[in-house]
Amino acid sequence: MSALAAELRRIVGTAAVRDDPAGLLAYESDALTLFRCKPAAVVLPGTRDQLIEVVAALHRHDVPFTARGAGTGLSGGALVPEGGVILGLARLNRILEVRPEDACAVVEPGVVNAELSRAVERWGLRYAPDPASQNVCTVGGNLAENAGGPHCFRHGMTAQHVLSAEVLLADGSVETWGTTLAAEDDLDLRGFLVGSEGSVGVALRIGVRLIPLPECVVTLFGAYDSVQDACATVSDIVAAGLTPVALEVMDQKAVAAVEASLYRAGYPLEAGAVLLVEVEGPAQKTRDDADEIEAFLRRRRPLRVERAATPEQRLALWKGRKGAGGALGRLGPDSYVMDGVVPRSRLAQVMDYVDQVEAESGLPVANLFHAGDGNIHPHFSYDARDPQQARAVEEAGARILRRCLQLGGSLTGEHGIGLEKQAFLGEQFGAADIALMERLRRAFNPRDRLNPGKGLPLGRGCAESFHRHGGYRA
Amino acid sequence: MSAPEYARPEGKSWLDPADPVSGFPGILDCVHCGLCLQACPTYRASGSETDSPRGRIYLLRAAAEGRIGAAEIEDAIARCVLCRACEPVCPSQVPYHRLVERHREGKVPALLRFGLRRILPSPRALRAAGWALRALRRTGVLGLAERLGTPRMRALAGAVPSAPRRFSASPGQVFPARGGARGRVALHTGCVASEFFGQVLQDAVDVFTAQGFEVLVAAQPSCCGALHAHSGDAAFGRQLAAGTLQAIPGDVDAVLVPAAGCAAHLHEYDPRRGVADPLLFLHKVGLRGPLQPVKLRVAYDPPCHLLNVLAAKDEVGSLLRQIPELELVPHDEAELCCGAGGISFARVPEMSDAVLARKIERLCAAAPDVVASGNPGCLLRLEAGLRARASPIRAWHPLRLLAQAARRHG
Ligand SMILES: Cc1cc2nc3c(=O)[nH]c(=O)nc-3n(C[C@H](O)[C@H](O)[C@H](O)COP(=O)(O)OP(=O)(O)OC[C@H]3O[C@@H](n4cnc5c(N)ncnc54)[C@H](O)[C@@H]3O)c2cc1C
Ligand code: SF4
Ligand code: SF4
Repeated sequence: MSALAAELRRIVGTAAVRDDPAGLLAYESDALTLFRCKPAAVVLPGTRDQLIEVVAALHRHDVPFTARGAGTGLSGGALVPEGGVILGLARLNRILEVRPEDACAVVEPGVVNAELSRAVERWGLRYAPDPASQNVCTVGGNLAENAGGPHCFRHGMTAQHVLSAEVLLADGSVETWGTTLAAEDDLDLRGFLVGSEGSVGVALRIGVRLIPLPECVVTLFGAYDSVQDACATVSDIVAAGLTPVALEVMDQKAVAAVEASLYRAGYPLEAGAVLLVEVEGPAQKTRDDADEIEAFLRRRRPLRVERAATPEQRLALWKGRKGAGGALGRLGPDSYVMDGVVPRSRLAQVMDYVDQVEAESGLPVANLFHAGDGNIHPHFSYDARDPQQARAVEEAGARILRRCLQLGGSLTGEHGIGLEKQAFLGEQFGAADIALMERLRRAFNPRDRLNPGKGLPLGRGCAESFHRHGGYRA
Repeated sequence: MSAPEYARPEGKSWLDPADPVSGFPGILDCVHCGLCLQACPTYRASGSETDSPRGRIYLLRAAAEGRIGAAEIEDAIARCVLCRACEPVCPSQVPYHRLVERHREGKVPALLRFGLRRILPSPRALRAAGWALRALRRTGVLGLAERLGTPRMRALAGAVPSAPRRFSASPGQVFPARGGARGRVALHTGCVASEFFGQVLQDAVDVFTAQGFEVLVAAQPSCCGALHAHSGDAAFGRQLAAGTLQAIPGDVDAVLVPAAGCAAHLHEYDPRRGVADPLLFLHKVGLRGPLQPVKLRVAYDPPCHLLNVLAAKDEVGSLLRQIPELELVPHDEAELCCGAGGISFARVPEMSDAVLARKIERLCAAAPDVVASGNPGCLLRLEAGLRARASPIRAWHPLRLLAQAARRHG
């Protein structure tokens, strides 16, 4: 490592390579602390050219490496196995080009999601995918995980908004996939890259689609006795052909946590579940749709229905929803946020099952979910230092994922497979499918040096070479 | 429905006292979500998560649990400028500054301890030091050190303003209200401020008397103890806060502290004593006209503790907008720290300089005549950064703009 470290320092400068204990320990986990693995070095390139040179050096030394944006991933994606190098991309945060007339922009991978939206606001544009982590997570990380967000119900996930990418492959070569022009006439490698969890190539420059800011936005919520009523209301709204941009549900525990935090938004504490709905578009149509939706919200005996009267109220409701995950973190020493998908019609069923798992595991769980997409996020609280609880939480997660699959769903809505779920991949896909995916990935990452051990249960990687966080109190 | 057990506004209070992290109340509230990263000026400057709030908390916890040596994390924690921007954005409400203060507790280097304990709180020692430093500035010695010294010498030399001025009013002096009287306020003169920032204090007197307030200059002792708390001498910091507030009579509408960092410290020490930042107070009582025009382009750079501790929003901007002909010009990243951070600028000059450089760049891009910031520590840093670039932008306390607007005709 020391010869390599010296070479890396020569490329990026002394301060931008860390291999001291504190410099490394801060990178041993992402936002999923179930897994940890300390890298051998962290490199923070300041320019695209430095990054290319760094990867070429890593290739020559045959050292595994993983790109990292803001490390907010929730599946252990931004970790590297022992002996590997983390490429921290936070400094590559320039917006290179905005073409308002073509409604697109080209950015470096470390640009923060919400900052891109803020920067293009003055042209009446925005970047649509809005993960709850949008104030910190990067466009590169979003691309790798095909991130979604509350508003992706209508606008689509990251895959629908990435037009092109300049990609750095594991051997240091650079290719451009896709174009910022509307038409595409070659093999859709761009589509293959999005959601590949950093194991196909490192995005150096990303061309993104921008969409107009809406003329009018209406946000409203209904509070119900039960999660079941909230889910049924979601089905009513969708079945009627209405197209809200967001349909979000929080259960009582999530609401209680929000209301006890600094994101207090006035959600009713007595409700078993709250359904948050947003409509946007041209003023008249939006208000008409909102009226229709409000009528649906009132149908299943709500405890309360409210429409945000001012932009401040709207913002407060969303701050509460987006801060809920963090607010839930206060319930136990550690938290585990799951991600699974079921057909929308099966939401009520899977939520029942989550309740059952909570009762049987003894671990408190709260629920927030993107109801429009059938994407559930049970939040478990536990103490990672207690080996028993650490095992129990993983087992509980596994049971819920299996249930999602049984109900015709899938393993991940937006957090990715990462380290967390690769053991289950064989239950969703047949051996032939996995082998095909593996061949595809090997075509670009033949020696499995780029983000090894993630996503596919490949080679020597696997979750086994990463330590589980659990039970280190002995 | 009974109150759900999930709502625990007080955080994880059930922590076992035998837990290795029990010395850091609130540390387990951090769920490693990373939502604090972008708020942190040191992370923005270096791009390293070791320099981020999440990283620092993780390291503090790991050290408490014995997973990393205490010495190994020293540098990472020292590089924090304690701007507290990570606190209001944290959904788990991790009491970040308490964790760092706790970590720094008792680790004050001897020389610093001497300065903090013997000079700042002693009017006589402070006066002597102020005299000497003003002389060094006048004779150009500090300017030389700023150009040629080591980073730390540069930082220390930069801590004396270009035109230092002593506040000449004596403790206990009363300035009568002008125009219709509206009330009575006490003015806390501070330690460094009274030696170097006489202009700010004089402006405070001018503004408030013109606004109809009788101004009572607080009696000594007058160091609030904020620097002590930040530097690892929290007990002494509290002692100074207590002494300072005790020396101020109770029958005033507000205790005005024209240094946001000090105001925040005193306010947190005793929220019931009516300690106020003068600008926030003025906004609350309403600015009384008529105001004279001040024809300047001004960039407002809010002090961190005004935003992150005293929860300021747009109060100062709204005051400045009331001044005729004053043009507020926006600059990028106004909410980010300038790197002053108590005395971080002298302890970790490299990090502080990197944070400052970013700020100065954004200011130069906006090219105002004046950058206004309501905290002497920030003014020092901004001035030093601008001086190093030979920039014509002046760094002023917003009170100076208000004092100009309040000047009488002729
Ligand atoms: C509080 C909270 C809320 C969240 N809410 C949502 C949500 O609503 N929706 C959602 O989808 N996710 C959500 N997430 C998960 C996470 O924010 C997303 O997965 C996000 O896309 C990760 O971005 P990042 O920059 O943090 O990437 P990281 O975590 O740093 O990395 C994630 C993956 O991307 C790869 N990667 C990073 N940069 C590049 C690059 N330039 N080229 C190639 N690969 C790269 C990494 O190798 C890794 O595999 C949330 C997380 C938190 C903590
Ligand atoms: S300090 Fe708060 S915002 Fe930062 S990682 Fe911890 S919980 Fe998240
Ligand atoms: S106090 Fe400021 S510098 Fe320190 S970690 Fe928080 S945001 Fe960063």
